[in-house]
Amino acid sequence: MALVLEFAVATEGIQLNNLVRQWLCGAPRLMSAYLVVMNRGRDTAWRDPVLVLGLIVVWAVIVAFSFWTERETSIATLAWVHGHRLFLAGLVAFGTGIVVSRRRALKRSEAVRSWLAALPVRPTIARWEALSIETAPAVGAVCVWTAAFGVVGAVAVVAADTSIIELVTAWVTVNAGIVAGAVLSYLARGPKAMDLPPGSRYVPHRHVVGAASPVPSLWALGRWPVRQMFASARPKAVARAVMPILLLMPLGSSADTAMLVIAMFAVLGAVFLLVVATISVSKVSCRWLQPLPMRVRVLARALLIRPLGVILGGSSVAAWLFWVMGVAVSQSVMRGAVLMMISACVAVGGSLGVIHRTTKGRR
Amino acid sequence: MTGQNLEIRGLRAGYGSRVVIEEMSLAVKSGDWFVLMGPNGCGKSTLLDCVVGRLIPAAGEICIAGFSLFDDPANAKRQLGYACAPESLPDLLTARQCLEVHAGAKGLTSVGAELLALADELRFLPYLESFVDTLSLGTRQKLSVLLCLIGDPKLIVLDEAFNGLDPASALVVKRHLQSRLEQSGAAVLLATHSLDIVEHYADRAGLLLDGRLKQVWQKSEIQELRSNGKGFDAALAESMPG
Repeated sequence: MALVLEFAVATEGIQLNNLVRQWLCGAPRLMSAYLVVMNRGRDTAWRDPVLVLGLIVVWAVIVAFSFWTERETSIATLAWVHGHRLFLAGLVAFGTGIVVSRRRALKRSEAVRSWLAALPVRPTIARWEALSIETAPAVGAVCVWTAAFGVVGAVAVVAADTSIIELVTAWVTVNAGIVAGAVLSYLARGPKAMDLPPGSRYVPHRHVVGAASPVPSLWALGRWPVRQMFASARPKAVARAVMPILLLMPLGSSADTAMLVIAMFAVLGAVFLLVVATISVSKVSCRWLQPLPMRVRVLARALLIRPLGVILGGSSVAAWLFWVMGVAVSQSVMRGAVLMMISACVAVGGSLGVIHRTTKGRR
Repeated sequence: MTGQNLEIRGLRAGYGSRVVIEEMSLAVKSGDWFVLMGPNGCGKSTLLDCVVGRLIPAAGEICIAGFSLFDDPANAKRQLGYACAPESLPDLLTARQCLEVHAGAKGLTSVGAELLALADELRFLPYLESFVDTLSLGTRQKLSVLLCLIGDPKLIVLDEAFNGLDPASALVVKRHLQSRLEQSGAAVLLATHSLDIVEHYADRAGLLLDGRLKQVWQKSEIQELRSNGKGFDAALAESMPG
């Protein structure tokens, strides 16, 4: 009983001393996010408000000094921002709308499956909670814009007697763009729910019917990074990544050129994803196989040979694409070789590095 | 060779400055089923991590079937089977490939008919070609147990290995382990909260508290607790220190 009372008193003490927690106690999603942020800074000096405030002041002084040394450029930039404020407001409204809309879809999908989903929250609070989580990027953008504009504006006002009204007009217009983008994203039709993590969904797999019993071999380890590469390359993400490339192509480009550019993008993207996958898989597999009697070099060989083969293949295709694009044969071969060398070195170096770190300290 | 399948002497281990296991010694002989019990966070999994070589202890010696885990890790690990947590299995390999990799790492020429028979008994064979990330928790647990039994290990280390298994499959695994102990002279080190395993299968059981093995019950003591009429869990609780 005494223990329970002690706990209650301690808990009450924490709540009384922490207004934020008390304020958030009815909103579990916000409370959880707040606690996660606080936990990240646990055992560090980042929880000390004086230190944080001091760092912000130092940062502001450094930025102000930097702009002071380039005050003419800063003033010209501010004048440009003022002159193009409507264009900038439209641009940020468009960007904010997309970001908030995507975040809304993601957070709503997460909330349904969250560990907090079954908690009783008043509908009004739940709505405000969802709104503050979903519009966090817009609020962040307003804060960053205000801080940056405040510092540069102060420099401009002190240095050249710039009109404060002009500055405020530009600040308000751009902020209005951010707010309008966030509001419009709610007025537009809600985006489709986000997909679950795809896992092996996009990994090519040959279904074997009536196969023989398993044959001991380490070669399956080499397939793992390649499969991880396929798992990372979700069709939707790839399509979205291709879109800007197509938009950047000059008008009048032929379909052949577009195909070549997309093919080159696919090859380079695949090689990049494979290098990343090789390094991450090396760590996981090393941890998984640690209780087995296997030498590190055997593990590294089994893991790396197949990805290196795929990198060689990808680099050859890239060289061929360069040649098709009209680059001289020697130059194409050189570029393919450079791509292969860099990718192979990063994959092997990264893989051996994480394996070494994972097995470090073995007696 | 010491004649013990597992011998731990003066083990001290932890994470950073936090000591979890203090001056622990334990011996598990051939044919022994040793159950490690204890409250959450008492160091059971830490101890098992040390035994399988996933955590380097600060001090002490661990020998598996007479081979030092630190001086001769290859031979020591050849005698070891460890059922890892189901979430540690590789998502993008198929169950068949997991079996192949484990058998390959142990230098075997085949996975073994006995193991495939066990897989069949556990109704696992239809999942051989499935990616691990598509398997349910129980099916992953079955795979983890099968991987652990590859190569007839002398020491079988299981960490809560019956979690998620349906009762029929759990019974199949328990009986299989028992037959291995009797026929091939293996030993089992199992960390669990399940008292029915202590009651019906354990040869010895140990209580881990605050990083120390506070009490060990021998088979005769376990049988005594079973037959005292109070119910096994109540009798076991009464016999605990403190």
